[in-house]
Amino acid sequence: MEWYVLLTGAFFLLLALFATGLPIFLSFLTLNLIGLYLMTGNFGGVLLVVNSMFDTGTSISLAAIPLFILLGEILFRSGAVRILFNAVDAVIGNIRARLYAVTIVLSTIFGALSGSAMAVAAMMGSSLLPEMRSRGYDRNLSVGAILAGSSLAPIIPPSVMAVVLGILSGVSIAELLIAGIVPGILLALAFFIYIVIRGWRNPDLAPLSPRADLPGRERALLVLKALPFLLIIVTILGLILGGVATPTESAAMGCVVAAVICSILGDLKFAKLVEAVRSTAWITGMIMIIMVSSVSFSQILNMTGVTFELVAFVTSLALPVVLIFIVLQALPLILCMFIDQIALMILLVPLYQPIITGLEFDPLWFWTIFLINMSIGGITPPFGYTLFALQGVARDVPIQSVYRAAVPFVLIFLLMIVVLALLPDIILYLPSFV
Amino acid sequence: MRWLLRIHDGLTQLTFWVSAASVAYLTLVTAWEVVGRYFLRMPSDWAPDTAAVSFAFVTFLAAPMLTWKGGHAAMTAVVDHVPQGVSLWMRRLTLLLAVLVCGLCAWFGAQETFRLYTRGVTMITVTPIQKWWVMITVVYALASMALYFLRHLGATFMQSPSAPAESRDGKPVGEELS
Amino acid sequence: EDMTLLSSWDESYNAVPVFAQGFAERLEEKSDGDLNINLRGPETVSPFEQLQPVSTGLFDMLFTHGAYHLGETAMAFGMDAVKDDPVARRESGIYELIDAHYQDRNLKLIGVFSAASGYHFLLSDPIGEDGGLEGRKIRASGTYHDMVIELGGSVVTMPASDIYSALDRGLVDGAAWPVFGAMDYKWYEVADYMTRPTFGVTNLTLFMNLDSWNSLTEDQQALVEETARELEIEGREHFEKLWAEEDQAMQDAGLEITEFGPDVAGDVNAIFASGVWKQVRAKAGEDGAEFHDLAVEKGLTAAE
Ligand code: NA
Ligand code: NA
Repeated sequence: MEWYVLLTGAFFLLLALFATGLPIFLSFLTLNLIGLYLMTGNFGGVLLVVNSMFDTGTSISLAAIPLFILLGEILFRSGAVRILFNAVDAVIGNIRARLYAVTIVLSTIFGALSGSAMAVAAMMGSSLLPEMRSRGYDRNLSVGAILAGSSLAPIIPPSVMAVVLGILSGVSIAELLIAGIVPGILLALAFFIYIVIRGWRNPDLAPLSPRADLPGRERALLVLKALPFLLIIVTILGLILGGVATPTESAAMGCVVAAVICSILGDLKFAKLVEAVRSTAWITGMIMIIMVSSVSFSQILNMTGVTFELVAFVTSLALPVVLIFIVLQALPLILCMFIDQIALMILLVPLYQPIITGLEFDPLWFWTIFLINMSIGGITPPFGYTLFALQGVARDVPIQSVYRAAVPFVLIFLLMIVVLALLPDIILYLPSFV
Repeated sequence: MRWLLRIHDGLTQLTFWVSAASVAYLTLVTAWEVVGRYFLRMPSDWAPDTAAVSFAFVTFLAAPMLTWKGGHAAMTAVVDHVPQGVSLWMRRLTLLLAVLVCGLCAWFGAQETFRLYTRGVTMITVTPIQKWWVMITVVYALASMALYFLRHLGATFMQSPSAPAESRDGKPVGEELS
Repeated sequence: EDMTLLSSWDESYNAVPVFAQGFAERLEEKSDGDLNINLRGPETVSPFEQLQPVSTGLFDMLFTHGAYHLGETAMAFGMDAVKDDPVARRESGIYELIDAHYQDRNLKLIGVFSAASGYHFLLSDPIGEDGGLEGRKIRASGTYHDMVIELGGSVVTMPASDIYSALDRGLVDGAAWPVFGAMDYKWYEVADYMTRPTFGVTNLTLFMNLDSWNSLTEDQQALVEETARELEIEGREHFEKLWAEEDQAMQDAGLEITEFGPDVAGDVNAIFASGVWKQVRAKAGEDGAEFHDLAVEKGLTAAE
């Protein structure tokens, strides 16, 4: 069978399985079994699927997910998020859309710290989202803000994805990490502006707060109450920047610190802590069962060789340089709709390298844009780990609403990529000091 | 028959508690490793090794609960908008498919677990940890999920045409667990 | 005859073009296109899970390192403690022992390829007065565990993808790795020293599924064996050049050489080898003990 028949067949079959309402992890497992049967004529290859589940399930680099979820759970259930929002309301309660801004800022900070978009999305979804909705904020815009902010995780250092990309592409990892800073901040700004415009055009999306009218002393008290919460963030930041712990380890320390602070100052009883832990198990189970099933999907797809053929086809096209650039960047965006990002990098980067050298693209510029592109992959429907992670914590939000919420922010991402492509200095300025 | 189902549910609740305990263990042991390595200058190898195992336990020991309570992520837009008769049959078909897929994976997983057990295969860690200790939770998850999908399938024939109340009703997580 | 070869690394690791692709090309040429090998990399099966799929016949061949299936057996890993001499290795009878051991797992040993180089530590600070790794936190896999302890350091376990940032931010004081790696993984950006002398021998092992092997004609089998024998020698010679280049490249990139102390330097090979043999005996049972004894008897290892 021709590769493009297989590839489009797999894509549409996956979509069809999604559409039947079959759980997402089962859609992947089903395709895995079909693929293995077609390749080998029997089901002996199921061994590969089971082994891959074991391998992904014990992969400690993914442990950031439960740890950041638990952190979010503790912060939410202890009332720390409520206290923080009250403080924000007290200071700038007369500005519409302020909590969206707080969401963007917090997601950006935690995204910067953790490097895992999934972990941050799950954490923000379990802590900020319920509080925002109870305050009358628009559900979809809240979800979109969280998705967008957490997608900055792989772009702003530290970032495992940047390290892997640096290794594969031969670009200096240090430079690649630093190159992400300015685009990451610009993206955060762009999201912010978008949200302000939305709130300004439609005031119903973001209510004003009565707290802004409180007497000055009470407002100051509300701010004071939020200081311990900042201590938690400072702890995590300090551990990472001080070279004491990896981001994953810092999240664990953050959980312990948060539990202690929140039980002293906030409203964290043992029963609530148990609830937080059980809820973390639930959400982790939901996210990881999709992970462990879809990694083997990428593997089987690679085994058939179709992904290789697709890349070979694209790279053989004789087109103007600009079009080649667009095709090279569009391909991962499309493949990210249904392939795991790390697997995709392993596949694409070695094949891209000769082309980039041949066309004399600046490698740092090209791969930084590529990295941003991969980050969008996590929130482009229908398949994106960040999307699934958020839906895992916000269960009453249907997945199609999550998809819809993501779209405007994907477009902002794409717009920013155009800007970065046209003005390479935005990317290249900071690394030039290394 | 009923008591068999009750044992199944009881086991699911029990393993879900173990999954939650694994979250606590993973958190504490990871935090402890930082203290041990940085402040006491005594890094351990058992901490990261057992953390990996507990991480797997979180996932695979919680999964059956998700299936029982209908907690898996799914795209329900289409099913929600077709006539009830059609959606009932779509649901039956997907449940049947789910039983087959999970069952098949569980079957091959069980064979591999048996091989790991008889061969005494260990994980590639410094601490000697038998691989089948973890693999058996993968098989447990797959088998138990297959059984729940079968039970959901059976329920569609016993109850009124609407989907069973316990699944996809969009209750928040906290309520699901109580 | 089309066969699949599963490799634990992608092409960016230089042993893959030399030994895996090299083997495929040579064999195809020798057989006039009759024996054709398709390569599959770690993006299809993760490196530590590759032995079993090959032994059940989902793939025909496996190109890997013995440490990647330590959980199953340490037999192939033992070669890292055996003297780097392809001819002496073949003549010693060690191959027959290893082959018999893996046939029990439905695998046929085709060849063991030396990368003409061993292992070292990348460090943030030079070796001090203790002459070893006293008080240092070293990121290391089980392969080096005993050695790090023996030299006075402590082992930190973390995924390889974390090594860069861990070295960068001082989370660890060093990392143990084959001498090829610092350039590819860019660790020269975050480490300043590399230890000498190096220790052990990095070996890549090629297996074939036993049923696939048996389905070949005798002529085809002879071609496969001949190709492996040639490549063991010629590939190794090629790697001697690569290693000299790599050593220079690392120094040009700013990695300074730091020597183990005089009391330690003479022993590093033996310390490493005895750690390897401990695992071989523990994880490959009687076959492992026999392997170690034979290596000692033939004078092919640094540790009794
Ligand atoms: Na980050
Ligand atoms: Na996507």
